[in-house]
Amino acid sequence: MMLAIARKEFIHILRDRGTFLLVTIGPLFLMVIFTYTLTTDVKEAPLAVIDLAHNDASTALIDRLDASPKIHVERHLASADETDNLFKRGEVVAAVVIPADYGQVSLTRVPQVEAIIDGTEPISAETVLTEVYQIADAHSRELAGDALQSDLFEPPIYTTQERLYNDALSSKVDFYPGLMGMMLGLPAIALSLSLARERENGTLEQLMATPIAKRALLLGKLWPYLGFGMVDVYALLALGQWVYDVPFTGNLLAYSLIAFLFMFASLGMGLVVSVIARTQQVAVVIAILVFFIPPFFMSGTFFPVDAMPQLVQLEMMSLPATHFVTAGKAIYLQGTALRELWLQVVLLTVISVEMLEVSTFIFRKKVVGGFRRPAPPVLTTKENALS
Amino acid sequence: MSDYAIHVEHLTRKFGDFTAVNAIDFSVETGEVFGFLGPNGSGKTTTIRMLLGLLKPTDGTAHVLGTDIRHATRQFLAQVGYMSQKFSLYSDLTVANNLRFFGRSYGLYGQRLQQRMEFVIELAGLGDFRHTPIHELSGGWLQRLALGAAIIHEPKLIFLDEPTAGVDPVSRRDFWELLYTLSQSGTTILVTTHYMDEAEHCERVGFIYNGDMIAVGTPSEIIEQVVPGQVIEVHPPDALAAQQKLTSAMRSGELAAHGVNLFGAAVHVLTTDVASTQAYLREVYGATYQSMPTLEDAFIALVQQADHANGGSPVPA
Repeated sequence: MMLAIARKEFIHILRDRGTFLLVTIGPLFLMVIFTYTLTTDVKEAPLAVIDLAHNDASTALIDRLDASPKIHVERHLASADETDNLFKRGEVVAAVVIPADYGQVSLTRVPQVEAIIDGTEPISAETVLTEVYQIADAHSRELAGDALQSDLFEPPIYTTQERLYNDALSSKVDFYPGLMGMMLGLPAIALSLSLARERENGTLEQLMATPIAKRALLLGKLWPYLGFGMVDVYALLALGQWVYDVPFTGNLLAYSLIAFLFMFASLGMGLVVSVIARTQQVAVVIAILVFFIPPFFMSGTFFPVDAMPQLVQLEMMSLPATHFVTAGKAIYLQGTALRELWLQVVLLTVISVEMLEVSTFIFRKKVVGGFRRPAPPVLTTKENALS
Repeated sequence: MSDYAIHVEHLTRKFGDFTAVNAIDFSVETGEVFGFLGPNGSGKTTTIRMLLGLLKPTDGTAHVLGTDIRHATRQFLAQVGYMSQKFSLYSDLTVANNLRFFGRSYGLYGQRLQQRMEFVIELAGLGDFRHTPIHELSGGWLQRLALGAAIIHEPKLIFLDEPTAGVDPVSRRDFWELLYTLSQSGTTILVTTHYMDEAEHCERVGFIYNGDMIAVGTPSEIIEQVVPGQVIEVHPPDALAAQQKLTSAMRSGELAAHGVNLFGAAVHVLTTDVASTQAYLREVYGATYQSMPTLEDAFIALVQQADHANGGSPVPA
């Protein structure tokens, strides 16, 4: 009987264009949009330069700044006074003041390059600041070396860095596995709608009069969406691998297991939403609040979980997306072995079972005894009573 | 009690302070076609939902096929069929898909499922539409398909909730033909309707009004009891005025009748004293027509009595 439901639901998905798009093209389409728009990589950030030195050294510095892929020298200003207006108009995100004595090497006086940044554009401005610092620092060491006729000049402390995984520090690589958690919420939204639709169409009442068990009915509805969800998983992996250069480094089987458990758990939540919601409108609003918004903020995709208040952290533990993003990201980007991620596997399994039981419980409670007060009686004039 | 397919005692259902079904009693014998009549919102659907175990009664008991409906099981549901008020089939599925789905839902499979599907398609005359998505079918076909889906598992008892609402007269007649065929093969049928002509086809009927069962019996019993005598019909130029005038004549005793009802442009006068009433009416309105009272006459009389007992207005606003 569960199979009968699954088969019927599968046909519904194929026949209903909206649902079909939601569970097939939907996640890919949204992913494309998100990867284009959601990036913290800074490219060609506009910079103003106030060159008070006007010598070879200052010109060389400006050329180097402009040559950086992260910076574009947008404006040359005579004085720093104009900077504020440019910030207000959003023309530049930072300004650099090159002092008049730039390029003159003296052991007693060190010329200071000053950077002024627009605090309302923190990501771009901070990136520019770091870049300016590095370029100016390198340039000053070269100048000092030239002046002392020696290439032995070294600052007393020197830090080096080595980056493991995501060498280019590309935000796309960082986001991609997390974004997958969001995109894979779409099948759950579609599932939330399906029971509410049956309630609206009256077919639910008809189903209730058949000997199908409540749990079998819910599980039967879940399987086809899980199938489509898994297809989405592999499609998104392929998209990441070959279109966005986000290399998959882990074990595909391990990832599939995590993704399967995550899909099951979030579809289970979709069932809970769908047994609670009376109409499709209510279902879609709850589903967006449950599947889209919390993973966005809370699953560690964009904002570090460790920095959140403990209560919120606790709440996040109950969201399947949190565990999927943690485990998925580890397998995807770092090739972490599944045995290291046993906690996520256990938690996702627990959430799956729990959601199925909760939805079955509510469903039993609601349908038996849950019919609303019928419409008020119609006046019994001859015309409408006896038509 | 074992001879009864349905036996209901004091069945009550309240939604908050609203009583949808008020302590009703009735029985349906095995193999009977029982008509459950009443205007919209009178409690018919609520009663059926309780009899299927989908809705818990607030009070009272009911046994359906020997099962106490407060403890309805899946085995019980496998023995009954239900065609709900809306045509509750999947409009994006084909005829065959719908039947296969409902067949499987009732635990049919393999050869038997095939046989039953063929039987139902044959019965409903849907042979040419096997692979048609049902949203392309018209009302009459849909209704026969819905009946087919409700009986695919050969239930001993079927509940039909306003199966003919909104269907054209020819389709309605065809549908009733189908019901008779089923009834003859031994299926017990409880059917709700507000078409009085359909009600006369039932072996026994129950009238429910504002949650109260106001009459139960065979159509002729009810007519005999509620509207004894005959109907004299007149066609005055202004029917409404005539009805008011005749009603006051009846109340003053001038007219020996016990009911004056408006029937379109005609007025029906119910009387046991045919000769004097006919004479009275002929004098005022000319030609009169004489006929036997119908269930509709009985129902109107019953509703008037109930409203009168209720203090006039039938419906709280």
